[in-house]
Amino acid sequence: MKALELFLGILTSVGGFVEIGELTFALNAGSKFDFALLWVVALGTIGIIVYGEMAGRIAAVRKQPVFQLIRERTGLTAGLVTLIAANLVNLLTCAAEIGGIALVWQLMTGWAYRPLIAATFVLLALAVWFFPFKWIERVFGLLGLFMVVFVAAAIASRPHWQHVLGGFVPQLPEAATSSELWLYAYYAVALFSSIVLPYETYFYASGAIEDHWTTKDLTLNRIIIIVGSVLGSSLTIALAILGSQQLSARDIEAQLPGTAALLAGVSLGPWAVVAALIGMLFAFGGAAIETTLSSAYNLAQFFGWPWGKFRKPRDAPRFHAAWFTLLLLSTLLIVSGIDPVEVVEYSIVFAVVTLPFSYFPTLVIAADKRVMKGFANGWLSNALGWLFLVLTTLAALCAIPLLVITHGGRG
Amino acid sequence: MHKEGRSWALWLAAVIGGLIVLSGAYAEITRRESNAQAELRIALQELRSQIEEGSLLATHAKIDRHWDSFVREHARQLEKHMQASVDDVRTKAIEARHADIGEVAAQRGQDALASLRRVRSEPAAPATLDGAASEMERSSQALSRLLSTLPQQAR
Repeated sequence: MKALELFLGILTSVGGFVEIGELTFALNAGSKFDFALLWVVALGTIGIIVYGEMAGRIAAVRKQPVFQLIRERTGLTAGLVTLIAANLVNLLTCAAEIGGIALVWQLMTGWAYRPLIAATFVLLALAVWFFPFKWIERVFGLLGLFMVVFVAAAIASRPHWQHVLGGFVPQLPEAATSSELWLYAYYAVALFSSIVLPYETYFYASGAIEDHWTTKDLTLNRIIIIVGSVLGSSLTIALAILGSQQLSARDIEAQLPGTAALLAGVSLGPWAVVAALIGMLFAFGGAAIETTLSSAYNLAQFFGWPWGKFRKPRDAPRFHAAWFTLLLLSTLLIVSGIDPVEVVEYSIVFAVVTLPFSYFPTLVIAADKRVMKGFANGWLSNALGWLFLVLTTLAALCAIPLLVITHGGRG
Repeated sequence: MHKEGRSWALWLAAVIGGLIVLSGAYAEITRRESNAQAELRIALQELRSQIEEGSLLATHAKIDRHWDSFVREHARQLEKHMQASVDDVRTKAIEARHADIGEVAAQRGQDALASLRRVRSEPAAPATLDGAASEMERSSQALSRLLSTLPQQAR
């Protein structure tokens, strides 16, 4: 039973690794800088492993989710600022995912975009309302695995593997002008942020509590987060390779999810287009639900309301009202006509600003031997935790200036 | 540790807030000075990128007839973006006092749009797809030439 749990957990986390923001940034990172940003993917993957593992461990040992820690350790004022910022980022991300789903659905059916947004809202609301927590994780995570077609497409595109491996060494692009260097820095920060998006940590820790994890589940937690993230990051790497192989020579900047499906089709034929569309549909759907629930978790945990999918609406009314409201607001935002890819680009840059505020309390508690007793961080977790706290703080400080200097990442 | 955590968080929030204000001020100042050229360059690059994607779509659509509906719908979505870019190029060219460049680019954009519409309406006709791909290639090359006439950005 544990082996099955582990297997499904890993597959689910692979299928849910990439969402519309990561897809776009990975493709464009490859298109603009070939393999020169692959080291950022590796760095971000280590970062999400380090903090995801800590958040899951705290949840299993202390039954404390991330936003309860944020309020406890950073105080009401800074905690409230983090809460508002995190939920605004969730709102933008969720809106982008809903728009992305409607665009992919339109590619599959030819139906009109706006009614598809409304249909997406209804289906997502029904899924959150009726599906138990595990089902949500499994259905969207497992069907999101169709995205593996991008790995096959990347291999079929015959990249120069030595150059691909060389991309994992931190570097600057060759013979770059100053404006290209700014753009490179912007893409490095944005790609890093798209991998370590804070909602993933909030959702993961809250999910551990929803699943009633105990200290006996800690090994499971460690294996799922490490193997799932490493395999999941192979999707991001594959997208960057496809961007380099098929978009770079034509200097194309991907602005639509359909571009990714087109590239899969160019490499492998029409069946790959279908697989890519199904994969994106469920991966974006999973991300939309995670951001929606994550916002409700954040609010409830910060203000001490009863929360959890396992609680009936009459037992946790504010929690259930919160996720529904966020889903509705996200839908209204995207139905107003704004471009989903443009929204997600901004949401990812703003997400990085909230990262250190979420990571700091997590690190402090996970390292505290009085609180965590025998389950506190070892030297490696502490060293990596502090390293990533410094990196996310630097990224948070650079993110908005880089956004402005590069005209929103356009050059 | 709680006190340290609080002061660290407040300090960081204040620094990030300050940087946001400074970035906003920088954006406002550069917008007033000479950003119009840079904005025009970006708009032209976006339009050229979309035309190239249209050409890629037309080229590969003719290879396999089993994805007609995908080709049609992707062309439709691309067309919407391209139309917005054509309008954007016109506006940015006037702001940058390069209305002549804007007109030439917009005309090339309209040609590419017409080709993309043909792809959308006949996604399974090889001759149409061939013609559309070539037309879009030509438009993209023309935009590349226009881009090379614009002065390089200095930053």
